[in-house]
Amino acid sequence: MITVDTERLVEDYMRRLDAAAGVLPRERRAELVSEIRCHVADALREADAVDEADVRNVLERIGPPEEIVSAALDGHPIAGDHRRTGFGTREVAAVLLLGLGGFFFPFVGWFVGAVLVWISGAWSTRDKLVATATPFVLGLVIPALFVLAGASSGSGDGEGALGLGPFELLTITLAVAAVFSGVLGAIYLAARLSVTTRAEHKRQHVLKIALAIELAGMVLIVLAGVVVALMGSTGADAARQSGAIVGDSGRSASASRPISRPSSSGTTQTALTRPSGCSVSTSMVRMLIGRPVGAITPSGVDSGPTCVPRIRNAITVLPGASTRSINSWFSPS
Amino acid sequence: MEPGETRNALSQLRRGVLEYCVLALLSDGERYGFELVRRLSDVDGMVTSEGTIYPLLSRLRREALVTTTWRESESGPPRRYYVLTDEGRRSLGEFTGDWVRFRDAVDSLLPLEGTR
Repeated sequence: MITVDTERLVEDYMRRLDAAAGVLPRERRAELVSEIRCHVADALREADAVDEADVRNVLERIGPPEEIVSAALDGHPIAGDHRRTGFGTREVAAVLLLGLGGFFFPFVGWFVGAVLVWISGAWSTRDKLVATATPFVLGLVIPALFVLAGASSGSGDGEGALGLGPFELLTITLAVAAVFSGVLGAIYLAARLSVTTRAEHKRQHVLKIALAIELAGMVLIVLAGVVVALMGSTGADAARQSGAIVGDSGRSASASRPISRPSSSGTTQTALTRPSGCSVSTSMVRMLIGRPVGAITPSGVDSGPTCVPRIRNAITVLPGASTRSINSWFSPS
Repeated sequence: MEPGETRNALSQLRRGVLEYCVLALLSDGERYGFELVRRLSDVDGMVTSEGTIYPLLSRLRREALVTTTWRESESGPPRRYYVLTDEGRRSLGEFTGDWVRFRDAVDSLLPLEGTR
């Protein structure tokens, strides 16, 4: 039966296992070691192990202790980096703040989300950089588009399009870009979370639903914006026929409005005092939609600057983030 | 293609389905670890290192798909018995449906004539 030598083989194996399992939380380590010990005893009994070769055979079937512990770490090597395993409420809050925070608490919401993202261990530095650097990338790309739009549409009225603008424009676009890139960054981060447990799967599900609702809201804004733009362009065509220059500056657009929409007289004053960003957003929307959108505001939208929603519409026309469905089976270890 | 590549694909696949195979083995009653592992390794190619099942069982327990009870066995010392929970049963049912669709989809794409 089991001799001193074979006994020592088993004890050596158990000691190796116990040492390797040191990286696990105490309870899990104890559970694993006790279960394997039971298994070894059962296997030896079943195999009716008599000599060293039998015992070695049994232990070999169970596998190297390091491999077993590695399985307990979900395939991550023992000494390796398991920073990206696991995520909790803090990561959910980070993603939600990054995506939605900007809407409720401009700047601050997004900023808190970004800080939470950076102090979390659930993402790699690269992912964090991609998600939180987007506002700045968009902040550069969008002003560039503005300048292009202003240059292509503004021949003869270039000063009106750029006007006192660049810094003002930059501020406005950065603000809007921050809000929008927040969503893109949030979607990216949600997709990059490594989902290993069922609880994490549920949390990711919650995130997906929240971001989907947000995206749906944005699509609605885009559709509303397109409708508004189309309505505006009808007015613009009428205005163009009457000889006005339409859409190249807030000044000329608002000047044309009393002609196209006599009913909205009395709003000229508001249009005149609008920042020059409005006129550029008009030309940008026109550029993206591919047809003149003309007058800045249709009737009934005179209550405030309309440039912000217009810019939003323009941005969301740009390619969105692709979502990635993670099939955990096929993900490389 | 590298010779080891299909084997790697299979091992990924196996790792993904293994937990549902464990749940399936528990669907007709409780079992203890050794029993479970033996049933699994009787299925060709399902388990390479028997010990790696225990971390999986531990995870299933922490996710409340199974519960465990310590009981005396007919032979030998007290053992930890694994029992499927309602949540585990639901998860197994869900996977079974997904698996059938997945399997049929793959079958419909692979050139299967003559390989059976």
